[in-house]
Amino acid sequence: MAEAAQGFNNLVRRENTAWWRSARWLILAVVATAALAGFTALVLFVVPQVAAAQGEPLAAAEQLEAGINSFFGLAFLGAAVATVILTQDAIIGERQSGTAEWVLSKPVSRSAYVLSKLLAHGAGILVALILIPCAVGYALFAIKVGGVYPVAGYVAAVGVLALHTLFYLVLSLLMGVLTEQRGVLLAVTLGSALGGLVLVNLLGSVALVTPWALTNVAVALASAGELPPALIVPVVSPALLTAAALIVALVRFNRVEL
Amino acid sequence: MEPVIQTTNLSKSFGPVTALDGLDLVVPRHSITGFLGPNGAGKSTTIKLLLGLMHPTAGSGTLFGLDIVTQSTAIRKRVGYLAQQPSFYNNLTARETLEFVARFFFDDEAAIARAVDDALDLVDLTSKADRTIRGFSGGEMQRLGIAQAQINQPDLLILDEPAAALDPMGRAQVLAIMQRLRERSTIFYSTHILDDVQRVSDRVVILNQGELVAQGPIEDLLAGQEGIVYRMRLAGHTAAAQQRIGAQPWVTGLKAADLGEAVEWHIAVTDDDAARHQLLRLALADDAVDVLAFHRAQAELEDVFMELVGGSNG
Repeated sequence: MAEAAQGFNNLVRRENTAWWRSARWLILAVVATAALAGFTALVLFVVPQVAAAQGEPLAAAEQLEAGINSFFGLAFLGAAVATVILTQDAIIGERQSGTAEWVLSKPVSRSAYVLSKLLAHGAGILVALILIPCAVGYALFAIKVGGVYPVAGYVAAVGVLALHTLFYLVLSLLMGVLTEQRGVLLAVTLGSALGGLVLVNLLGSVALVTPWALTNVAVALASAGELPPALIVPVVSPALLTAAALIVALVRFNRVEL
Repeated sequence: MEPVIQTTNLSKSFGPVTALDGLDLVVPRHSITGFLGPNGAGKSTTIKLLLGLMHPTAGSGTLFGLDIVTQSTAIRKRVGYLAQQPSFYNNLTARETLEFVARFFFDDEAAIARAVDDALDLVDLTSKADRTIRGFSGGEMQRLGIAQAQINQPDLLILDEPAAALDPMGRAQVLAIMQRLRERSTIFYSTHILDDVQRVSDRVVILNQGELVAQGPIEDLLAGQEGIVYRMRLAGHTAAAQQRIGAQPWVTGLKAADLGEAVEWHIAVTDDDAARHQLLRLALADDAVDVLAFHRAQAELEDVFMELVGGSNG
């Protein structure tokens, strides 16, 4: 067990070094924040002025709702797509180059190899693509309401965003295990992220068991501060799907030939 | 003493293609074993099966008595491996690469630093330790590969084409390193360079088309081709000497080749000790004969290899 932990710790250390040693994470955070905050600021502050100037003023509640929808809509899609792009090569690249073969010739388990990537990428993505942009987003909402924006609901919504992003991280790693073709990985992961935008409205209640309903859950939490009982399933189900995908990735990777 | 590597009927198929068929491999401790075969013979497949990078279709294998399928992590704790085309993390320096590897085996940072310094020194990369390996030449990459493979002073070193892509000086360096490392490790390496095998190896394993065609001490392999043969070059009146030698019960044949002013005899014998002790004395029993050269004939590994492998490959 101690030896297994030693190998795992070493891999996590290496993955973390790759994330945090360069300025890449900071650039990601700045770009994500600028895009998200910039777009949301437009919706919160510029659009109402334009509407008022056109003689169709928006009520305060409408403005806030539009802001929340825009923020989380873009955050969910942006974080998912960025996660896939950042992690598409995490396993496929190393399998193709022979680096995976080299690493796995050392006394380390296959599970540790996958989990170290999950942990390190997860931490980096959480900070750069979720926590920093959402902190700035909270500031915008606070400015909009002119005081403290309800924290609990907002934090819960960010938690749901993190769950959604985690799903796509695990999906990307799973596809890296199942295939050596980047095209297939991108088709499945990005297809799910982008296709979900359309399918969520077509599938009706079936969409509630997919990650695609999580955006609505986050909006509800951020707006109302509490989760309607009907929306508990869309939180539990993607969590279970994520766990299942991770288990499949770990089991399947033990059989991959290098 | 239990062999370091032992396989029984080890086989691997990829769909309809049989890459390895019923390999019974034995590698003794503290040996340097050359693993030979043409491209596609199954050498890399064998190595990957031993390390748990692939799963056998049939058969079994042990390293240090540990099962290659169920105890692979424990095996890899005692093995150092250099792949045929090593691929490391290009954004790391040589030192960082070795530190990464060392951390799989050592807990203590001081021990890691010592092991890294020793490894860099062994392969003469100390001056380039803090350069990122992205800019390394093929030879430097190979030397780094050997350094990382032996950093934990493993009981078994498995090297897949360690001298490939090296110039003659680089090859000589690699062979010298292997000779030094044999004091503490068993070395099992694949190669196409037969001269190197003949120079440093104790044993040879030859694969062809997934099947084992030869395995054993290199002298036996070289001697076995034509039995024990001595070559003698003589001048003078050699008829009587030829008769004396031909009459010996341990001499099974004597072929004479006329070289003009000398003759060369190929003398096949069944008793090496008797031949070594008596052949020269029998030839020089009278003053009419001058012996110009006398030695045991040594087959070249290349000849043996071509005979074992070349014919069946067409």
